[in-house]
Amino acid sequence: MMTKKIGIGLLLVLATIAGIALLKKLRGKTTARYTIGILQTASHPALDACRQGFTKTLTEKLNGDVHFIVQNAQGSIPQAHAIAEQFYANKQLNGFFTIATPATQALASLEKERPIFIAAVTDPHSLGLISPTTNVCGTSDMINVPELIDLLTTLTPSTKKVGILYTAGETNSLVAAQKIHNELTHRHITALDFTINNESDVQATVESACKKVDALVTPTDNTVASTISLIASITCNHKIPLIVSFEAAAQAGALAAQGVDYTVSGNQTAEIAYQVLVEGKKPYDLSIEHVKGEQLFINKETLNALNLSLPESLQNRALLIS
Amino acid sequence: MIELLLHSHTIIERGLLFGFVVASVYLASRLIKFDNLSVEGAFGLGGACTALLISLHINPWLALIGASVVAGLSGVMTGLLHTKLKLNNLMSGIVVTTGLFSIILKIAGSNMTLQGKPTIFTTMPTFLAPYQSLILLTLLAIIFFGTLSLFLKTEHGFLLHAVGDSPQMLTNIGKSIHAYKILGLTLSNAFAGLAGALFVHYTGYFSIWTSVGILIIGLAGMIIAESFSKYFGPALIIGAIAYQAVIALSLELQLDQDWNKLVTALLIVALIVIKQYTSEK
Repeated sequence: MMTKKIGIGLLLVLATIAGIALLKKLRGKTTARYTIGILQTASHPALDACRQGFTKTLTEKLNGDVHFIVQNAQGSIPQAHAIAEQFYANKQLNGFFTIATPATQALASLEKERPIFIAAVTDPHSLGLISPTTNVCGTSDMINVPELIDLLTTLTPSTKKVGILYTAGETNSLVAAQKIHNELTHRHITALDFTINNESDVQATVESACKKVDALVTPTDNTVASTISLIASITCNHKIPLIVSFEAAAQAGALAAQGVDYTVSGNQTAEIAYQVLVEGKKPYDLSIEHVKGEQLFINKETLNALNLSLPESLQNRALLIS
Repeated sequence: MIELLLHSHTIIERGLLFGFVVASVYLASRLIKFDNLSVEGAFGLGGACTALLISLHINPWLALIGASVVAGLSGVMTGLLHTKLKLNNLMSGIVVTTGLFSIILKIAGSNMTLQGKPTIFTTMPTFLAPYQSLILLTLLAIIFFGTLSLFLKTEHGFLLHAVGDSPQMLTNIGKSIHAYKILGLTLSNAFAGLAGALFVHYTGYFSIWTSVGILIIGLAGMIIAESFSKYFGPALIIGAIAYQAVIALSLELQLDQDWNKLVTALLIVALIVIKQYTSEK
């Protein structure tokens, strides 16, 4: 008897929730011309910045004639799928914006027609997202390797041997590290890989690396990021220039840092979305862009400690910090 | 709201799929009374194995079953750590899940796309569209839940129950508690691995992060199921579907997304309280 009552009670609760949802839906009916579903993988400063950059730029470009439905999977892939299926069934949506790899994969596995704009995805090609009939376009947060090496050779022209420091278990680092390796070899600079497994062997690895190379480079890597102060102080002691691909590193004492600004990646994806939604371009023709205008940070004290001077070509775009 | 009805079959699909995780949690924490945290690792292991096998052009059905078997072996590991090395329940599960992370990375990397290779879902005839997945998952649920229900009615099944309810009885009749604990954990992890593998077939890619938070899906589904039945069977699937429906509703409401996890937590507390209240009567 009791279970029956509770059963009815639960049904009533579900009905109430459904009723509220319906009311909200009716009240929230938008008159905007474009409606975009945003699926964000998790809450994270970089990803939040990316979303804000996108909504701000697209709202400006469309003179406010756009409505966003924002959903966040909070790091759960099953949740990302639940949201993706909801978006897929919602015929009001003209396009989608997915932030980071899991959200992108979840939605791209369902939606094959309407455009999906992506950002903060490192390597969309290896995910099998790009084909001539693709509906996916946007920006990749892969570091710009040739530019990173240009920076290295401009700052320290005499470099002959460069060490690449990264974590063995991080796929993103692995892909970027290989690119750096190939680019260095291509320019006839000797490249040596130094892999770390966890934070506790960072010190030993960096100490030994400093004895073998003229300069040290790292891709975007979580373990490197969390131990950057230690790495910077060891390289400073050995007078080895350290070049890192995320901006916070220069404050910690690395010689130079150049990396993706996530707000810019959102802005840039919004520009691409505008070209597809308004100008009617095909996603495949736009494909995946690198994030433009990576900000360059140079640490002044480290520069002086290494007896280096800032080349003229970098003076305009470098932001000096100490 | 209309959209919710339009994609209600996908809610049931996800419910059927996660029903296997609910079964996995039930087998461990209710049947043999062992809170098995290696469910998370086994889910990932099943996904990784099936992704690897499919990429090697193995028959998708073999890839599914093979993944489940390998995941079952991780249950043996959990059981051995607990029975032979005397690690407590929670610790042996945590250790296995932690260790499996590296093994999964070596098997399939952190992310692997099937790139359109055949899965069990693509082998279904297309005239059933868009309900192929729903039909296939329902059939699989009937087969696996049916087989296990029958097994639980055999002598071995009866003794598995006894591990949780009256372990003394097992010793009295000269049976090994340890062996039956290991059997229970093997079944539990095999179900979790099956769910992980099915998820890869269903979505077309493997990601090492899928298994994060899978335990709460299993637990929530089981607690909803227990509000109307405490036996192994279809109730577990209904619980999983109900939980997916709650998630879909909370998404439909377009609440501030930061509150999602709190909604889940409150739902579980509410159901436990209701259950305690009803069992007192």
